Amino acid sequence: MRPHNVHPEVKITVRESLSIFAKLFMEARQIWKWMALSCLLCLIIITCAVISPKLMGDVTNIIYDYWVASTDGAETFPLVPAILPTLLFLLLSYAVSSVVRWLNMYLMNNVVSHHYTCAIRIRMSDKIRRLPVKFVDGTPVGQILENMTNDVSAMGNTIHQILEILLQGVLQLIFIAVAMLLEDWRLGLIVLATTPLSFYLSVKVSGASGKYHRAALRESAEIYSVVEECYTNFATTKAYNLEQAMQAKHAQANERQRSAQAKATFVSGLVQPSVALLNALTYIIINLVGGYLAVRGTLPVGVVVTTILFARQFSAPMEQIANGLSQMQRVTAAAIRVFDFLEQPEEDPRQGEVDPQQTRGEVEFCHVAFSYQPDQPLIRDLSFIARPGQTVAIVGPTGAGKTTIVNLLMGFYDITAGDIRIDGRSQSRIGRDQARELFGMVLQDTWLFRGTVAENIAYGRPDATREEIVRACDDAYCDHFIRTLPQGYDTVIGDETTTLSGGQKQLLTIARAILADRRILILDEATSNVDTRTEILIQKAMDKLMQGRTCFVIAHRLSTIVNADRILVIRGGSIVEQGTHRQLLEQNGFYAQLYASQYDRAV
Amino acid sequence: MKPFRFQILCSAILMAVASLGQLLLPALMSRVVDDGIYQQDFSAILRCCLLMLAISLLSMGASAAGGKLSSITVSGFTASLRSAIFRKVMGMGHPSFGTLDTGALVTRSTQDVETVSWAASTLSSSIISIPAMFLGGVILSFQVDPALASVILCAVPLVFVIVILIGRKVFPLWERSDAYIDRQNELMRQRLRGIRVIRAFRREPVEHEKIADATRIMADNIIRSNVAMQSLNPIASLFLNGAALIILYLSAVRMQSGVSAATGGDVLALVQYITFITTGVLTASFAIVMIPHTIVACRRILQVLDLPDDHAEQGNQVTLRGEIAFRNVTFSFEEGSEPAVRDVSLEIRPGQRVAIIGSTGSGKSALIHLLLGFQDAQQGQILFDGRDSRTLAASCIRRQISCVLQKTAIYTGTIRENVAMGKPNATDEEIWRALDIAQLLQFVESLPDRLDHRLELSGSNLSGGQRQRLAIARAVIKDAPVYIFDDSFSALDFLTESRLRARLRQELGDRTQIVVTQRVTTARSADRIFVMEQGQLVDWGSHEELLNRCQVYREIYVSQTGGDHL
Repeated sequence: MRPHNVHPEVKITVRESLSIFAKLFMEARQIWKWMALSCLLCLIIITCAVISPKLMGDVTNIIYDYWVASTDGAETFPLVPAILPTLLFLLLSYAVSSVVRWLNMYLMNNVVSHHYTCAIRIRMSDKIRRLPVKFVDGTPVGQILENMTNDVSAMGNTIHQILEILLQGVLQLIFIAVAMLLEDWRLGLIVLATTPLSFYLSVKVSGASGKYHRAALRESAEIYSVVEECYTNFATTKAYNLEQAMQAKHAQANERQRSAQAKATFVSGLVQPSVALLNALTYIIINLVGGYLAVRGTLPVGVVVTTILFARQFSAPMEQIANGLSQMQRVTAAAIRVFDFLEQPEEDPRQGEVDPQQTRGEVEFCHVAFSYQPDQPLIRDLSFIARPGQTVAIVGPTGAGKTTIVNLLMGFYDITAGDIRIDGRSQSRIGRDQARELFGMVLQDTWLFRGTVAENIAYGRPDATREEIVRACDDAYCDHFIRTLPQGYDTVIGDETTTLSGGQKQLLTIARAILADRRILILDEATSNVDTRTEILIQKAMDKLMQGRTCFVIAHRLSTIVNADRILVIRGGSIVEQGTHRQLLEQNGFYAQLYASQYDRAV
Repeated sequence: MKPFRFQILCSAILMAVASLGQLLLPALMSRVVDDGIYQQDFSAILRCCLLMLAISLLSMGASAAGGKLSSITVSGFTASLRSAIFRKVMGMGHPSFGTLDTGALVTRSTQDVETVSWAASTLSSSIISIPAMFLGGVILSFQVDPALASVILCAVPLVFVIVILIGRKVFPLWERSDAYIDRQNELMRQRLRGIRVIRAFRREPVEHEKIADATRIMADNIIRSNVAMQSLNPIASLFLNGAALIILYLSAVRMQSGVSAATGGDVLALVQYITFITTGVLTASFAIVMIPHTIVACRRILQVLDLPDDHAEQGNQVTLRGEIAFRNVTFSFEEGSEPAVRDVSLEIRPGQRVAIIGSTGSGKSALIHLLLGFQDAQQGQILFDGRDSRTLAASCIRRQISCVLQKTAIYTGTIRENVAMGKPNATDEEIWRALDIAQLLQFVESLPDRLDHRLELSGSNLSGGQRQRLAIARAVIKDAPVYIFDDSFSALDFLTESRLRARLRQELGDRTQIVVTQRVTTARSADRIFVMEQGQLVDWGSHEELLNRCQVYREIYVSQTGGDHL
């Protein structure tokens, strides 16, 4: 499998493009009836496009003849009645063409765009439900959002282009070519010979500009990162008087971007004039040859006009195709990223029923091994039992991998060897969702979603009554401050809410866990960003929550550690020691050292 | 814009020449018909065609030269706008910087500039060539037959009216779809961040539904706006084709009644003018619809450019010994809001090691911001060696205070570059020594590129602790009488922290050290500890003294070590 993020500059092979188009067309099968209708509409549009210049030529022919006759003083015919039927017919053709084009556009947007953008976005969102946490952890949020918004819209646009190019563009080219040759084969051949030349030229030129465009994009990204970095580190930049140095860094990237951008715009700006020149050449040659033939009397003037109008209609789809091709690379890359995302391997949901009411809460690790990367084992051979109602403290320096144990318990990551048993039953034989319902979690990284306080607390039990919610909050010591909020329990809060302090948010998550009432608890004790008084409340609330439950605590507080039934000491990602506080002190190993450095003078 | 005035004028003229050239072709064609075909004179046809060729080449040349000039102008304008904003932001003080959030500022310095640039390049080509074509077309056709020309004169503005009407309809739809794109992204971000809690509570289906709803509304608005936008083409072409038919009909009527002096060739030319103008108007319409969007972007950029500057260089430049005093300092971030620092007086002697302890929101970091001159106190004085800070240049104070701020700053570049920011001409030896003090020696030695190891954006390829220690190395290498560590040990484990603090004590022995922290274990070894709560300085003294008499300090101590071990 290729890495999830395909860099836009990576060359895409023909085979990859083909497989992507195959996928895109497979996507279209649900809406094939609409696609067929669109083809029909396109045929009408093309017919109009062929008829109109022909009719226009006829009209001009009549006018010319009348003018010649009247100037020569020959016998004239009534002009207006002669052209009126053709004019009306022409009007009808223009009207039909506009209406049908509008209908087709409406259809394309509401069916095709809708299908490819909205429906695929919803499928991507649905996909996240089944992706392993590992994937989400390993992929920057910004990238997933980029896939979901920009890449999908880019892809939606291709579908338009492909349909337009294939159906309308190519068919129109063929029809007009035939009509033109039938009108007058000599003039027709001139157009057929020169137009592809302008097509070739514009493809070449826009291809050349692609190189500069990519360079400009690269430099834009560079500028973006300089800007973001300097603004994020604003205080440090100021404190070290680095303003000048940063400006110099920005100016360099800016200058490189400017020069690449100027070249890119210039070269791609050449496309239009050079195509215009070639069109003018065609125009001139038609005039010359048409004029010659007309002088010799073998060609009516109307035919020259018709051919000129045809030539214009002939070059338009050519330009369309050229335009589409130049964007194809970028858009294919976007489609590849979208399909890559949709085809990511999913989490095995696991099978097996379990009754949360009957669970005692015994957790056993049997020779568990785990690694994030195959060559770097993180947990080698971990075994311990947490009996129902016991507290297991996980201790160690920051970044030692304490959260890994939480990830394994919750089934967010899969163990590589050994087994985790809940009430003696292997984790692999319990449905993942069911198993997760046995656990309650209070994480240091408080997560609240945008909604009312009550909704946030009832997150784990949406059917809870207001009384139950209030009772849980009372137990978590947050009822008081919730009542002081502007709308009490109905105040809308979110992750970025500044009306709540870090500690208050933590209390809300404790209330959430109390209300959810699970047999086994996972707690990450808060250490920072909490004022002293709230910290005391949090501890009291956590103590209350822990009563009678099996608890895994990432412990920072001495009292939790000392009173724990079992302490796991983690260092450098693996468990170096385990036992009770007394046992570990007697071992006089890493734990004793850690304990001394933090607390010796405190005791 | 000013320096580009001449270039803009030149490229405008070139563009106008190019579009007039295109317009002359049909006029010449009418000569082919009238003088050539009608008079049976092939040499006249040949002359006309040669003239056409010359005009086309001239037009192509003018258009290419105009394109070259306008690409240089637009990209130059964009680059200078971009650097003006960046220079402006770099020259701002914290009060200005804080008025907009960082993300918004980044958007203004990059995306908004792109929007303006895009508009400038599209408009520069179409805004000149379309009116030129329109005017040229009208003038040429007036010479033929004023009655026929007036049809063009009416039809084209009508199309512009349609463009404006559609633009009005589209704009609110765009705004709504933008809002829902944000909503979808916010929900998605929230969901990905909270994935553990969501799965633990089995709420994935609910979260999915929320996103799906936002996506549906967004798509609905986008589609409606696309339909409106793309309606323009069929409607406008119907109008303009209709106008061509009217011209044909009118010319037939007038010819029949003998009013018009138009020749057969003239009628042909008129019909073609209409086609030329149609294409031009349609291309221009997309640029016109974008104008409101561009105005918004311009306004947002101007808002940044109008913010007041910081005057870091104004004031005296002196050498400091490291004595610091606060006299009754009161400060609030916004006028009239609750003060972040309230009537604080304290003294720090040169060479003293002090700690400032307190919980979040107690005003510790505000003290540091005041010290560094990021913010100005509303009341009271801050003295360096007895001099009022307001008489000193902010850059001078900052040069003599070496600090590690709460938010660890790592820059893209090598480890060497990051450390050397503290001392621009530092030798490798000095850098290694700083890394050694910061307890990062082993780590850097284990890297294949050592000092040349490249750090990604925001140091994302380092752990939190490594980032903090790198920032400490940067502070240590800078030679200054005062060192500040604002919550700089929080991501370090206790063993590393105690080793680091021992080294700092040894290396920075005679310098003033200020450590800001929430941890009692970090603060306790300082000569003097200042206890902050709710913006006020509650008490100061040594660890033992405070433990005995300071209620707030004791509470912090108890909460961090567990009460039963007091």
